[in-house]
Amino acid sequence: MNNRNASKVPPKRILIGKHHPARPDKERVEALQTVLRLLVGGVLEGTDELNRRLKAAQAELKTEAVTTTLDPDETELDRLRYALVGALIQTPELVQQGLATANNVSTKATGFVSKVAKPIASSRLMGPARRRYERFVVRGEARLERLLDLGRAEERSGRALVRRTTANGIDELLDYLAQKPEIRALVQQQSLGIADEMMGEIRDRSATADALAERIARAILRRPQREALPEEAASPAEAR
Amino acid sequence: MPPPETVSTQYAGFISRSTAFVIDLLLITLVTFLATTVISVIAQFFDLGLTQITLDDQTTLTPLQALVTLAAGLLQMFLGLVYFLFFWVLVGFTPGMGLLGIRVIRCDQQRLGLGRAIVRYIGYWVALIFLGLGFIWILFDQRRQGWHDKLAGTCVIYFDEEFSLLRK
Repeated sequence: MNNRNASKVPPKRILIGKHHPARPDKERVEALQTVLRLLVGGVLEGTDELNRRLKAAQAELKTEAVTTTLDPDETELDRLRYALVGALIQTPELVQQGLATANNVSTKATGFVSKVAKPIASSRLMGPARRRYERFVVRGEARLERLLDLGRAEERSGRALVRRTTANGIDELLDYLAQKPEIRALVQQQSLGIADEMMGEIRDRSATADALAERIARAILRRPQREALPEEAASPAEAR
Repeated sequence: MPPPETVSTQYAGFISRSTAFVIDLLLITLVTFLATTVISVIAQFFDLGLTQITLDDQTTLTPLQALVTLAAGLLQMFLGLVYFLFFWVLVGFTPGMGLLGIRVIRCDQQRLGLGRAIVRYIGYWVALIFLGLGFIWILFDQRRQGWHDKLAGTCVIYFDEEFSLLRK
């Protein structure tokens, strides 16, 4: 019965297209832009940092002598793997060469087509189409310029945003860590350990200086040097 | 020539002891200086005539200034007495001695009592009066005792292994 009544209820209308009420407002768009800015900045900064580290690591490796020795137990699978690694490393170089060749071919082809098509393109018959094309090109160039300007500004602000965010994040992380009792105890223990070590060093040195001072003083007064201190000194544990 | 003795040798020598003593003196002087400064500031606040009077290019002290200076000297002596007695009797070593890893005990392996501590403190002055010969004595004595130690029957020993900042 209920099911029958339920079937009479008109189905809910789903709004699609331009009538959709969930249209993102300005704040949402700005938030999205900020996130995008952060992402772009993060990727760029991260890439720069990674490049810097990789270059440093590569420079370090170059200083070490790299020698290739043939392994007598090398299998076919190993050889295949080495070949693949070699090909992979050489790929960027090959791609660059291929791109340079393609660019050459493309320039030559464009020049040839321009020469052939020039009489037709510059004819009066093609005038309206040419003017429309030129206007289109101008508009496209202007739009491209605007995009370039926007990209430059956004990249700068994205990088700045990432730097500020990471700096603040590190500060917050340090604050958080400083408030953790376990971390504080660890740092304290480390500091005390270092202080203990320094104390031990000072005491060792002062004890050695004691003996040295005695030897000098006895030598000056021509008194016999001490053979050894009396063994039976009170133990501090007992004295307590 | 015998090898230099290390911390394992029990009786503490002249350098360790004099370094510890200097550290203690610095601490006492610092406390006295702070106390005197506070007293001077309070006195100046109430305008008690602590300003210096200059006559014929000679700086003279006002009576109150002279009193404060005298009080500072007495305070330092008193503080020294309290400082050394407190640490010798109750702790077994002064902060300076603790830093250098040495402690003072009776030669019969007992803790120092107040009476012996007072005798030892007086012994300091006796050792000092004779141009510090009583302290120099540590260099030649078989058990590295100064005159003050001889008077009070005390010895100063290393206790490096038993002392740690990490110990609670």
